Amino acid sequence: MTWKLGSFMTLLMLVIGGGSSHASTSSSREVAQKLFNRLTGTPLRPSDPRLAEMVRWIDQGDLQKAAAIATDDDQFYNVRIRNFAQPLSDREENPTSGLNDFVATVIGTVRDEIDARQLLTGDYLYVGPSGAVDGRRIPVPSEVNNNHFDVLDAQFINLAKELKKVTPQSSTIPESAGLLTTRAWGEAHYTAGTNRRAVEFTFKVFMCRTMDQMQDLSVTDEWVRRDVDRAPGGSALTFQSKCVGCHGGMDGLGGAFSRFDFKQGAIQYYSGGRVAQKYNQNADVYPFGHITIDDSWVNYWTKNQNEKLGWRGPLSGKGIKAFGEMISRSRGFSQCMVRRSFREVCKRDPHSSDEEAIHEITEQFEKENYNLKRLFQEVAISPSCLGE
Amino acid sequence: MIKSFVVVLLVFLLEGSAVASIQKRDSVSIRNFRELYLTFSLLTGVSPNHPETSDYFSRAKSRLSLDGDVRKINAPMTLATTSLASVFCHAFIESEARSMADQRRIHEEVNFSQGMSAISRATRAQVIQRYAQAFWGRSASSVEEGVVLNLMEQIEANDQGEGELVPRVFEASCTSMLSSLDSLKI
Repeated sequence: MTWKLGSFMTLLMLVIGGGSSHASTSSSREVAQKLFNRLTGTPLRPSDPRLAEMVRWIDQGDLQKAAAIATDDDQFYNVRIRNFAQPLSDREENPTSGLNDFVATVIGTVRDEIDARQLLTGDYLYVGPSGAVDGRRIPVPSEVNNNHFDVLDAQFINLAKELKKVTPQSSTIPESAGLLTTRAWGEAHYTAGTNRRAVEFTFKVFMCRTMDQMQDLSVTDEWVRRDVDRAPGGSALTFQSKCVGCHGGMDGLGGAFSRFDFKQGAIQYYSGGRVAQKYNQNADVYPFGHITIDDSWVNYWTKNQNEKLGWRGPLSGKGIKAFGEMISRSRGFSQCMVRRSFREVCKRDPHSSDEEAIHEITEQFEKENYNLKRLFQEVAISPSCLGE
Repeated sequence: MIKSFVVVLLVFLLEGSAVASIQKRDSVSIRNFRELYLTFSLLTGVSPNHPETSDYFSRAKSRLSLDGDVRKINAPMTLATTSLASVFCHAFIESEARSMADQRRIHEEVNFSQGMSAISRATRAQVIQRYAQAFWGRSASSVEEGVVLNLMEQIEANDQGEGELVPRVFEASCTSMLSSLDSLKI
């Protein structure tokens, strides 16, 4: 190309400037286009008949119906929900990482309007077509690699149309807990280490809480495992004044993941009363610490600042599914889903002035059976998000 | 080049800074990498599976906006965005040039096999207006139209006989308009 890149840059500046002369006035048409853009990530052409339909609903004061037209568009799933789910599915929280079973399952759950609590308890997965599809070869889904999803991604398969629900989730794992037992989650959080990362990321991803926010020095160290030094640097005070705040809560809950490991590309499940070896490694660091013998767990993060997470139902149990139930039943889970969808649709974090709206939308989300599709509509049409 | 830059800068100042106004309105952002790719595909009608666009996207997506935050716009991101637009425009113009004139989306009046001199200013302006409708959903202002016409003339004047000039001129015009803020903002 002989034309210069510099011309592009200057022209781009001009066009940016030129664009400003068309600054918006708040018309129904602009609201419709804004709603569509926000919910699908793509523009709605002026000639598209859906624009007139959305404008009609807006003029009648029914913004929800206008938003529903946008959420019926395939790009709501392929773009907006994909953007929402992708960073949650890996350790680096990378929005550009590839499609996987975690992301596909979120997209399918939203599309089929399945109760969002099932994301942490359900025994199902969403997969794409396999075999020869439109002249392309797509591998069958596998529990030992991500090839199926890699090819779906590379071929820009329309996930909104092509994803199908399969159940049971796995042929090798007898205990399913929605996203917590997907291969992608396993690869991200059960690989090596001690599985404490799985607890940390459960709170980060589904409760929007970091360990710094969760830590509570008032909790007991009863469940802290043997691999944690009780006197780091020779000071028992350090453990009591720092370490226990995280480890007390995290190790109390860690039993939920004790049957899980990730080796040779797949989740490894320890059945028959066994737990992953990593749970009892480095036992000589503090031999009197907690010995993990099964998948029981207890939640000590229920008081002080963690009281407002709104725990409902049993705070102790056995296994990953019961753990997923406890998390998904909490008010913290609902609020986190609302905050995440707000960030995704409104393109900013909620301000303190938005808290009332967040509260109301959370109430509505729970009343409407944790329907994520409806949640995205509610968020998009809220005055906090839509603006003037 | 410097002269054009000064002219553009003056126009830019006269028109007012959209970026500044956007920064005041925190609810406005630009499309992230995934939104941008599918938007360009939608606006040009080039399939997201097109080998050239998908190959470029897989290599460049980490340089495009990851979260749509206008405060994070930087030079590499702008270049990657413009380059992605140019790959889509190349595929789009190529497809238009291959089609019969009455089956084209935008370039019905353009004879791709003749030189630029055979394409009148009125035809050029008509193409620019059609790009504006297709990519921005509105007409181009007279200022915008003038600048793109000027760009066409610059490319024509600097032609060194590398390949066919007509498709290159329209690719450049298409790219500049497709990668503008009107297409990028959400």
